[in-house]
Amino acid sequence: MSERSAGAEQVAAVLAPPPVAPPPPGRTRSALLPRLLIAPAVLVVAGMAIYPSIWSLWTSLHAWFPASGIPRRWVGLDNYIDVLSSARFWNAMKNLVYYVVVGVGVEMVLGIALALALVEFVRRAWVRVALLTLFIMPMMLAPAVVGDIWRFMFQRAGVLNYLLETVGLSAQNWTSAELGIWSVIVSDIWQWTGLTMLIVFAGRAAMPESLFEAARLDGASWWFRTTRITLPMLRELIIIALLLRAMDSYKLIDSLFIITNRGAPGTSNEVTGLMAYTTAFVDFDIGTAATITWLLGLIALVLMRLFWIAFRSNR
Amino acid sequence: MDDNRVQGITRAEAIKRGLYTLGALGLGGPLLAACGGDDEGGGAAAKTIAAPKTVDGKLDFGGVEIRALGDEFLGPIWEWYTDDLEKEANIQIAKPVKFAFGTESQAVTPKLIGNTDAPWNVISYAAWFLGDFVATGNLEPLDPYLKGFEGYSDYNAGVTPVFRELYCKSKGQTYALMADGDTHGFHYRVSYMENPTLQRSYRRQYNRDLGPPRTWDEYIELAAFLTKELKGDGVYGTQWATEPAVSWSWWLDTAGSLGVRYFDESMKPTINSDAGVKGLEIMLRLSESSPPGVENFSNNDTISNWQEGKIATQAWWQDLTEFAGKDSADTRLPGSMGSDGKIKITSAMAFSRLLSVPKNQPDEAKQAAVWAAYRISHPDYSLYSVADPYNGLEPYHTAHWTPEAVEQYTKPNPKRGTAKDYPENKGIFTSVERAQNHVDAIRTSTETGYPQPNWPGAGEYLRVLGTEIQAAASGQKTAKGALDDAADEWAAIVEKRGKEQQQQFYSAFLASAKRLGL
Repeated sequence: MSERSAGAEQVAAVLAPPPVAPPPPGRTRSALLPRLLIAPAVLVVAGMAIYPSIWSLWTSLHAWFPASGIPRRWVGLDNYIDVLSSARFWNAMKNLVYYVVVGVGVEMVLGIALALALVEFVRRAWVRVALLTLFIMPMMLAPAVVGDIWRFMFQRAGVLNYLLETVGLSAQNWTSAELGIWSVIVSDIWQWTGLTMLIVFAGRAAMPESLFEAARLDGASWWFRTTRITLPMLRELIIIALLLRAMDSYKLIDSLFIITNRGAPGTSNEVTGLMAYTTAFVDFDIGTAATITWLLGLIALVLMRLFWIAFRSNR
Repeated sequence: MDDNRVQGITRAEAIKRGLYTLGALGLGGPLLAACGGDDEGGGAAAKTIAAPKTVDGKLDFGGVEIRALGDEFLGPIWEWYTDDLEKEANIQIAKPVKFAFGTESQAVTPKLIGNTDAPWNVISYAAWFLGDFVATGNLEPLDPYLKGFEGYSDYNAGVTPVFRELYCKSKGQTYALMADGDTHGFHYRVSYMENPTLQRSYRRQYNRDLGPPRTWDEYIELAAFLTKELKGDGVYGTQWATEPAVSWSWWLDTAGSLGVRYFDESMKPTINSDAGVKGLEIMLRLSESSPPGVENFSNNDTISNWQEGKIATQAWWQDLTEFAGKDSADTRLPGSMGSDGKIKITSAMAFSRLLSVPKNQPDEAKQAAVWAAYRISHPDYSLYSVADPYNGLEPYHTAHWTPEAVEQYTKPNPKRGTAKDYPENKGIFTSVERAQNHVDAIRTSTETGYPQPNWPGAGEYLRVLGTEIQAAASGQKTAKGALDDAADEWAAIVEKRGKEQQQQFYSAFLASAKRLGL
């Protein structure tokens, strides 16, 4: 037997299920028991996730306006065709892409940079803690409160325009069709950069200093240490932070709703989540709202799959 | 007994409700709970309701507690009349629940379509929701109750016909009582109109006296003139609220006067007709004389700008002059010059708050709730509400045009004291003459009213129209482009909601409007 196959046998032995003790005399093992034990969990999942999903899919194939007393009517894929051919949906999707890609992208870069700067350039522990607290404080605010704070700052007579005018620049309409989504992105960066910073700071602080000391002794520059040691070792944590923020951003409604007064002007600053919300809870067009959420879900599935493929290929 | 019935509902309904409840648990939100079935709604059979109980010749509802729901512009009227309702009929009023302006869909609709016990006994809402709310099947028809109330016939005869027939009724049944008869009027700062320098300059440029404009074209010129003259002081000629919840109401003023209609006989939207487009173009011209950022103005922005003296004139609901104090006056809106040389004026009868009673509540509470709503709407109370600056309620009854009603605008409201939310109690106007001008302006506007849609789906039609109007105001689309898009969306809504049914609703709306001479 080769050394390799002996090793494989050892691995197989480790992975094999432990031997099962025979049932005590007089009792036979029932096949029903394990099923009964997992039944509550299966029921919960079926009731809370699977059934509503199927119900929602079924609803997306109907025209249904429960607030108008109109009976539900089968329309097949009409809702999907209507939504996918609507300029409003694609504008909302474009805004969402800006928000997720630019907003989360900037948060990641800023968060990582600030976390590393905090560890490497701030020597006093109390200053580190104070700065860290300062940066994560916005996360403790409810998104609706953040929306209100920034709405006041972005308004025509708000502090941002006051500052611009103080230095001789002209005031801007921060919630216009052109700038609205970018203003929301700014508020999001303000609130959530602290999350990436916190995660990366924790990961960096947990790394053994001896590693960096050795690199320093070997003459490695700060840039070399950062790009060849720190960031590769923080890779998993950075991915977790990225996933958390991307998933959270994907369902944006609250702060955008407040800052842009429901995606105004018109629907120029709307994102898909807000479009689904308006369709469901303002128009009570439940079939179309279900369609939008299914499309969003399918897009999320595709993105997750692509992300997973990219992640595995880079391991 | 029919054994297919379980506690008053059929077994099939019970099973269906069970399934929906499961769905609601699954998705966790009120949405699915709300979607409790395919009730056709409306058209409830008339039932016999006993006259309210009297004790020693006095009405007595046994101290039942009534909880009311309404938006911020309803003001504290329930608080003001708590003592009166208790003395008059032994009804207790709980602290009312309020929702933000324009959010009826989120605040009221889920509870109504949820078919659960109503958390409120009386609801107040914008009149365009009547069709949708009746269609849920969960609004109580009021006629059987009202007919048993003393003095109801006289009260009913006095309600402005458009409000009574078009806004409070669905399929011939009364489902609501008026709390607020909204129309748009033209408001202006007296000090600017009486300023000799401005008067001279205006006459020199336009060869007419400075004053409220007769036509929209004159208004565009007036607004531009005032902006040019006053901008240096931070004052602009005009403004309008572009937020989708209300932007369409200004379009009803302008396009309505040009003869726009919502649909043609085949249910093809006609909002993008020449009249509709020209109406929107007038608004866009007025935007040019408005403060920067007008494309994002909310309704509340327009109030605060007016109160802060930043605006010289504007079309708005009649309340504006009541909110603004001594330098503000109002009159009829401008109109459009017809080919016959006559000026046609239409004032948007936009919003208008109604009082309704949800069906799902105990009978004794329901009866007391209908009574309380009736009394709040009755001139015995509403005479004081409509003349009080701490709410957004406007006249809708012949009693609101009387000398007594006019005089009330110069006096404190005897039904209330003062509190944090209404720190003063004094007349709005210092002279009966000014009060009379104000009431005359409202009356003229009511007589030239242009009704908003209020059949099932009205909320969605108006949201779409308001959104597209705002898109035009922000320069994303031309007036024609915005209204073409709105018309396409309206056509899609008609198809989605069922063309035949929508056509029936609209025909009934038109027939009522025609009967009323609109």
